[in-house]
Amino acid sequence: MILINNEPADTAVLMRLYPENTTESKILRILLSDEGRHNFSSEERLDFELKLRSEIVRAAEALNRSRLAFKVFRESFCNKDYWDRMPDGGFALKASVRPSEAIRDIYKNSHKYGTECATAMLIVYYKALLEVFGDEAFDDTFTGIYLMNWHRIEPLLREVGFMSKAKIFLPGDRRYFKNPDVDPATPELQGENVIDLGGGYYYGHGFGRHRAETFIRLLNQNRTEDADEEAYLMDTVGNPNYDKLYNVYRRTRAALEMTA
Amino acid sequence: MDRNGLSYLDGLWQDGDMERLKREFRSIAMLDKRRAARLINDQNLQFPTLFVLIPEIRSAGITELSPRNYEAIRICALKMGSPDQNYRKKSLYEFEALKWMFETGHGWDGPYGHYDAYDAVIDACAAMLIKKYKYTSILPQVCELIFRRNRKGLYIHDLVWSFFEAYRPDSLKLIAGYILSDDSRDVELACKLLHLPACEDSDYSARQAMYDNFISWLEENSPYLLFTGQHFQQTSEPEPLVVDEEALYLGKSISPKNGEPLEPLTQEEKQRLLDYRRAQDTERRLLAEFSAKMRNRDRQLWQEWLSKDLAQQVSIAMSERGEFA
Repeated sequence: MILINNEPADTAVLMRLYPENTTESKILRILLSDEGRHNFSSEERLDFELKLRSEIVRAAEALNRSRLAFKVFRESFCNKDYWDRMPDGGFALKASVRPSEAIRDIYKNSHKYGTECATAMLIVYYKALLEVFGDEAFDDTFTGIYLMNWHRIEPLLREVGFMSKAKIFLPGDRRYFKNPDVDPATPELQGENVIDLGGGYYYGHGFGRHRAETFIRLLNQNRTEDADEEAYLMDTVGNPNYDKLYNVYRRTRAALEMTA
Repeated sequence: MDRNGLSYLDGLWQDGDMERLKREFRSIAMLDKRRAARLINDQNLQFPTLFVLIPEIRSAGITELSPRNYEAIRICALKMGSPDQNYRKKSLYEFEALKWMFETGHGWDGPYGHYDAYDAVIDACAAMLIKKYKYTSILPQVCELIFRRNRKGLYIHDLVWSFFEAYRPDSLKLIAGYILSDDSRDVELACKLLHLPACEDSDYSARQAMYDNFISWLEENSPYLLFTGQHFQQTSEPEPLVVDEEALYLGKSISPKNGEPLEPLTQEEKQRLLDYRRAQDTERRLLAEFSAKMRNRDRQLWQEWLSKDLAQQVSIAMSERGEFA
């Protein structure tokens, strides 16, 4: 069930706010039908999370359609007009460019980029945040983007790196397919970071958009000869701290409106 | 071999002049291909020399390679994007080749611009030796390489993954040693890998205390430790090793890889475990910790306590935990 400021939400009113078959309405249905209590400080806070999750799904779908190549960190490449490729294979935003333009470039000139699945997840988050925040607020907020994996991540997105057990799974969640018996010659296939797209589909960079069975089958093809454990989808999720991002969003938007 | 124990080819670029090595080898191969093959097949040759000369060996058409060198070149080709068709066929020499490649090659950092390919090959050797051949004698070198690369800002995640795939709790002492390093980058990474609070800015005595605590924790809990399989590809703060509370409660040693008891549980222990699992989270933690402390203090008393029903165990643990702290 959904609570707004600790009070049960008006389900009918909420459902009318979001057209049927949108990601937002699908998330609402899952939350409403769950026995657990999902409390949001306000309707605006709920709306922010629904929008951001929806944009995460959209950004993942768009990345799936792009020409972003799968490359291990050692062979990663990027458009040097916007990013510096670092010795560990990550991409650091150039000081002279606008963060919003640099993120959009990954989608626009996707053939100029190649990287691993964890970096793709970060690209998805930044693109979604860009759509929700808008260019100006995004540029003011995300000034030091470093795209690699969960090892190096900016404080505002720090929580997406943590995985915790979950009882329900929502579109926009980060999930992980683990391949415990991976062939050691291909450690990059030790697992796959994915975004839950809803409807039983997941996006993982390098593999594409598939159901769980397909990810498991593909990972199983890269196991040791004496493997006895199958790849599996972990029951954990990673998410940004929506409360923290909402507060930053509100403050940044308010400051921009004051100066407008 | 020269008087320093180096092979002729290794000796040619002792000063790091890679171009000289390549030039001389090309000249030898042009005049006498069999001599070139003999030199490259020298038992004392070190892997970096073979790696540097792979293009020359190919362009000179040298095919009379020792099994070790053939395997080494095949593994390099695999990691550098041109895999041999026969890669999946079992090879009798693969282990020997991997061992030689890693042991004679891990100390070399490669030329600028060739780091990535060379490092990828060394990482693959470490991963195959540890995971496929369970050859964990290389863990000290792998650990040293992780920290050396980290100081240069280079990619370390595959090596870190291989290191933990050894499932050797005692190997974490190697990482813990870097808590005491003078280099703050070492300290930061050591804390991150061991899932300890950041302490790179702390003074030496604070870090010494952290190191001592970690080693004590590791030794006390050694039979009950379980590797989680978490790594940087999956999470920001991997917690590689945890104490298995059920094992700690029963006092049964487990496999650090999968948590299975090393000896089968008796019927009595199975029943105790079922009761234990029904307890609340906080009670389970209390019982596990109390059980371990009591077991260390007085084994007979501990057995008496463990034979009581769960409610009595909880009640005793709550009333006496101060005494066993």
